[in-house]
Amino acid sequence: MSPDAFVDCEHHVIVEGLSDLAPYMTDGWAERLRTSEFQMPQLGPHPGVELESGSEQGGADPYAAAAALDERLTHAVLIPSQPLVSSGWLGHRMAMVFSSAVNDHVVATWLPADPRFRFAISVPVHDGQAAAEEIHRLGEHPAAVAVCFSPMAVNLGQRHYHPIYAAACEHDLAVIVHPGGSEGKVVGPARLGGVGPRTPEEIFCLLPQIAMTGLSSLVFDGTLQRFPGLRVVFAGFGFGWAPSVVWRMDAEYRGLRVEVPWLTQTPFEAVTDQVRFVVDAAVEREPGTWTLASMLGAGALVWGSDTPFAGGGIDSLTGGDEPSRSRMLGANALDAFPRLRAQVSVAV
Amino acid sequence: MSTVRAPVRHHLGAVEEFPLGRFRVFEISGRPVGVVRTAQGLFAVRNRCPHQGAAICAGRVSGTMVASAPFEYEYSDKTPVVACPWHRWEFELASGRSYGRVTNKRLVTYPVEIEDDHVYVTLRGGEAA
Repeated sequence: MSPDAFVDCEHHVIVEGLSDLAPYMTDGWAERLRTSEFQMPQLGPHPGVELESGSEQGGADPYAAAAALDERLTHAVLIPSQPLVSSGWLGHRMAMVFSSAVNDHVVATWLPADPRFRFAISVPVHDGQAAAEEIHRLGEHPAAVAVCFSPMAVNLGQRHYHPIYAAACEHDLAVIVHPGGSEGKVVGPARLGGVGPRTPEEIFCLLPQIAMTGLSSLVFDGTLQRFPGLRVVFAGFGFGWAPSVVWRMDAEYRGLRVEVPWLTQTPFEAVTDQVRFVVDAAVEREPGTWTLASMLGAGALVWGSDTPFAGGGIDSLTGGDEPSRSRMLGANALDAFPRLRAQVSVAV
Repeated sequence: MSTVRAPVRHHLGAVEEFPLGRFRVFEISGRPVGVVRTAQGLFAVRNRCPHQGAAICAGRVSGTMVASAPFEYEYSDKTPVVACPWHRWEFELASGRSYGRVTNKRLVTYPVEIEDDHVYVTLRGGEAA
């Protein structure tokens, strides 16, 4: 284990009811949601896991979640789940009011539960400027280490997201990209390729398509280069797809450099510098995990428990040599989250 | 007959026989050598792409896109390149280096000069043409 850090980069937060959020909305919006057909987003099934909201797994109870944390952890990055769903909502203002209230709920009720908790600022991405304002509102909170969103049907490298990236960089926050659960179901969220899947199983299997497109866009649109301080963390997409995509991007870049002359790094170099991938403990337990990981370079992977959606902790990820495991749990996470690195450095 | 590794200068013809921007390929001492005239001068290279061995002199000779802000294309002819017809990898005619660090392999280049409006290329070894 790294002596400085052992980071869970993906620990989800669930909000049980609107009453938890009402204190963080205007009276008007709270009333509007109470009296409309608004329903708290119900989180869909995850592969192989039974979700019980508020269970001892810690979905909605911050103190239960704190008690269940692996005692070796030095930090756990909280990612509220329900705001991710809002990429499928038509009401962009409602999505922001909801996400903003969740952010305040996390700050007020989760952070006091354990000093190891850090949080990602949830932002819907319908309106990049409004999202940036929310990042600025909370960006200097000492426990804020990231921004989190689920992508809409605009490629991640495009200008639509630039205000979000600029705001994240201004506060040294990483950007976590995570599925929202509505992909392939409704218009608005990022689309899946081909004709589109029809069942939840197909959607789960094919979610990496969105990350592939997003990663390619971040590289070839020059977005990583435009924001050299940007750190992007793909969470919930796995990483097994990434080596082949990065390899292919490098191969194509050689012949198509004139099409993207703004790239002064190869795609592999750009990804190595600025992108990290969360190992999904639920699905990446196979021995091949470490072979695939080696193709991305030693710094590419970080670990996320996916609590409360995944049953296994870090010990379920077997194999790998100790330096690789240690780096994934510690140094790589600190590279991904500059604010966390600053805090660890100060503490040391 | 020259010594095996001594540089030998080969006469290839009058300058006017070299069209602008299009290679002429010669067989010199068993080696395929392409010579091209550009606005930046004459260049001679081995007609073999260091990537997979394509006859690179069939490729386009031009300037290239230089580093720019995203989606702001900037073309410059200060550094003439040849693009391999197989995979479009570009090599600088003057140095043989891969433009944009696409590969560390280099295109073989030869010294070329003009004397009294005639073109000469120098290779190590072989007989003078």
